[in-house]
Amino acid sequence: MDIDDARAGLADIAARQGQAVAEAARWRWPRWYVVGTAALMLAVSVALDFDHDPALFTVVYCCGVGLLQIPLAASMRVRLHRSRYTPRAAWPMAALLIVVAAVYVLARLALDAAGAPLPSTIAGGLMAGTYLAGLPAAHRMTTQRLRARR
Amino acid sequence: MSAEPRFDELIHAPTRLSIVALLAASQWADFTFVRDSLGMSDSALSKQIATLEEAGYVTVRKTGAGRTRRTHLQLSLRGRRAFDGHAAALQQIIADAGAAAP
Repeated sequence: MDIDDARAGLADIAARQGQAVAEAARWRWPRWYVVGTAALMLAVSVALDFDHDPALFTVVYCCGVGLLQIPLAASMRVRLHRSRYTPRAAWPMAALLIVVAAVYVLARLALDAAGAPLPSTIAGGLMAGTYLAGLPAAHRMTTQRLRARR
Repeated sequence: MSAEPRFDELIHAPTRLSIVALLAASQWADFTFVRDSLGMSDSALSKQIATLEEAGYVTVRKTGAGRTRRTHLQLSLRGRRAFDGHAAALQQIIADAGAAAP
């Protein structure tokens, strides 16, 4: 094999991997998934105002989100290899999850301290709202970072 | 960690190199995505996938039925190692040629 063949091979590898990244970056979260996960957050928060078993409802939430992964995978044509999700590419989504959880915890503490009725429901509403508002930006930042790395 | 350079004749065939490169960037890829990305026919891609599957480089998983039937292609661990070794071998060829140049 000569050097030109080797160069052509490496160029083809880079081009094909770029195609996979471009396809993954074109993908958008389906509306039913975003609404479904937000509804689950709210439902679990409401339930916590009437039953005091956070562990049970955390499991219910995780099972619900887990079940939604099945049709979610069907909406994709390619799922990028985990090595592509470097900390630089993944931090916007991780930050969103941390902010969403922090909104619930802080709102819940404040509402409990103020003696507000249905504190978990109100905090859950704020959490779901933050998630719905923040997801498009977090997704956009992630895809920009994936594209920049290829 | 960089892979040990190892030229792989099976992967180096142009179409198979393209298929494996696409799959190396993916956790899995849909058959139709690979077909469309490479501009191949179903039968031509199936033939190449069968060769790669026989070598243990690619796994094929079919899901659903009827109109929702889908075929997912995934590079196996063995396939990923072979691809990494092949890419390293190509890089080494270029590096060696550069070092030998006057």
